[in-house]
Amino acid sequence: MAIYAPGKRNRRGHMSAGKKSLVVVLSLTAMVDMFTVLAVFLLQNYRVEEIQLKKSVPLPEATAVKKLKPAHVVVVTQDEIFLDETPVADFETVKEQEHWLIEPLQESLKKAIEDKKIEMESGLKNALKDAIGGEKDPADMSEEEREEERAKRYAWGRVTMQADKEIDFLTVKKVMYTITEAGASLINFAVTPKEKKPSE
Amino acid sequence: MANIDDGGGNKRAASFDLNLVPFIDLMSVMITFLLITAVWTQVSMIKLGSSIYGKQNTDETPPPPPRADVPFRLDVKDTGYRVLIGKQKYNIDKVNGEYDKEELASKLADIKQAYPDKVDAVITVEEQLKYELLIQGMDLLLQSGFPAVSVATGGAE
Repeated sequence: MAIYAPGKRNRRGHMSAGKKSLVVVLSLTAMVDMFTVLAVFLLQNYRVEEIQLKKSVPLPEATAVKKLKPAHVVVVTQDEIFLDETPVADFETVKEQEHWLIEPLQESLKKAIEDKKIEMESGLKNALKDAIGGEKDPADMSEEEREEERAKRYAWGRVTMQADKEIDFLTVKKVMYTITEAGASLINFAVTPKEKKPSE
Repeated sequence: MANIDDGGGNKRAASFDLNLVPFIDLMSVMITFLLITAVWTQVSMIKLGSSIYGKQNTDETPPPPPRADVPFRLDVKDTGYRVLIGKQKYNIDKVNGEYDKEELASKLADIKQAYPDKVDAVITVEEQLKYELLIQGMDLLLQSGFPAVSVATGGAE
């Protein structure tokens, strides 16, 4: 990009005085290169959040982790219990209560799971899959494949639990019990991935 | 602006500037957008194995895993870990107030060696303990080759 020395100019934009003109070319190549590399890196790492997690909840760390899959999210913080970002119960009330069932959470989750089930069963993808019928025979599948197939079939009942690592296990048990009672078939725990130590 | 020159010579010189301004504008806008919307916190999950012991909400009952006849349980207690395999019990006490994870990992590796087909395990945690300890215990079981982990609702005895 050329930079012209300031000074008095005529109507055509040229220097009017008879002095020697000063033109400096600013090399933009390095900057364009950097922009390109940065844009490529950011685009490669770009992903849309498939799951609505709360960022303020400190999660426990684990090494044997799997990629998060879309699911209903039950968030347990030190103040409240949320279902898909909607507060459903007060943490202290749940902690103090004698019985394990958290009724507001059960009702909301049951409804959410039923809606998801209807949505998935009436989906175009499922209709196509049934029409093609290209499923493998369960007898030919390995244990892991069978588990994956089962998880896919009952994906509507998948619930991810995001709980504060500091909360007591009894409250977690109450939440887990309620999730199971609401009809969830698979419970996952959200964790922060940790690098495995070489010595381990 | 990038200048392109054919080197001159006798022919008529073809020298022109490539206008990079719109390109730089586009890049600036794109990089700003990507930096703002980037997700910096990595979150993953660990999953509970489909349990034959739990409540079944689906139509089919998962088949029992191999060697399910050998009971295998990990208790996380206030004083440390306790491993129950078959009729044997092993206590792994805390060292300097910390849970001895290395000792537990080696014990679990021994159990995996003794029962290579076994994939299921049950974990119990005392009610007053932190949820973090459940995840720690599950993580160690998963690392040791027991992917079908169930959480028992009764506390550690």
